[in-house]
Amino acid sequence: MNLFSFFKKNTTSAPVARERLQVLLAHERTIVGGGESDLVASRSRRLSQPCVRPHDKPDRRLRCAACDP
Amino acid sequence: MAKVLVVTSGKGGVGKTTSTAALGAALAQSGQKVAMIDFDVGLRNLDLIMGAERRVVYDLINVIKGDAKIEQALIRDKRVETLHLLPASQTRDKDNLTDEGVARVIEGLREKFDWIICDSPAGIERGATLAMRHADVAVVVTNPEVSSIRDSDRIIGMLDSKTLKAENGEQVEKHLLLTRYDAARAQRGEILKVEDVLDILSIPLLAIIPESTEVLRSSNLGAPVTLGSPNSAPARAYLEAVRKLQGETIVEVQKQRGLFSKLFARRAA
Repeated sequence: MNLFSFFKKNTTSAPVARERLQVLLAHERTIVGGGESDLVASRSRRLSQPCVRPHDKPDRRLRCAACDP
Repeated sequence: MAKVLVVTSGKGGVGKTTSTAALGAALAQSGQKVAMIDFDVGLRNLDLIMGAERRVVYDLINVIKGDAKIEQALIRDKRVETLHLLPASQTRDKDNLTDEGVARVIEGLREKFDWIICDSPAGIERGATLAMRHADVAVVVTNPEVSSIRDSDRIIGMLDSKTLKAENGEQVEKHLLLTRYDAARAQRGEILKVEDVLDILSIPLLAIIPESTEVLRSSNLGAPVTLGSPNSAPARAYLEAVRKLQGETIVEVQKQRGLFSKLFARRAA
């Protein structure tokens, strides 16, 4: 630790984790499931939940797979 | 007729067995007849957490193979009369765990108990799929950490596709149990917040179990935290979770913040 570290911007890791997970799981829910049954199940789960991702967070540049397949 | 509840997660070490013991004991403390089944063949630990490791004579595989009756294998808890444990085998191969055998055990227990709690092993292999196979309710145990959330998402997909309910076009009732949560670290942006985990996994929250030394202390003593340390924060969270599982609506009362705490509140990073 030095004097300059005091002025350094404190970056947090949780938002990075959140974005990485959103991108990864959007992919895995359609690909890693393998069988059609998993795919259909994960799609119905997303469709049954209110979508809160892209509409109120436009800066995230993430597409919602349920709304924009 | 019993409700079958599976405690699952995908990732190991997140608190499945600890949560099974705590939820099972809390349900039994409320007067319900509870049977907990350990599905972790070869790596059983529910007996140890419950302090019953020296009372195991027969196990789940013995019952499946017809070497013992279910009544002979069930271990009744000495502290709560209505709480029972069916341990997993520590020595047999998990190939002995068959679909028909598990179905027979579950059907046998359904008539005698109010709740059957299946403690799932980590992973997505036979033990985990059979633990969730007959579930009516699922508690998905997750830590606020990337690998745990990823694995939980995979498990939620399996609950929606590989269970008997899913195959019959019904839904397994799913709940999120967020364990080892440190609110101060979440405020500082070091770990994911509750809202982030809920947003990603899209299943309703059952309870948040705060990080606490009381959980480890109770495990060391062979007691579920709801029995070993009933006034601790984790125990209260588990007791609240059980009330929710039984259909009670919990109203959260937010503490009013005073002028001093409003003026000098710590800012989140």
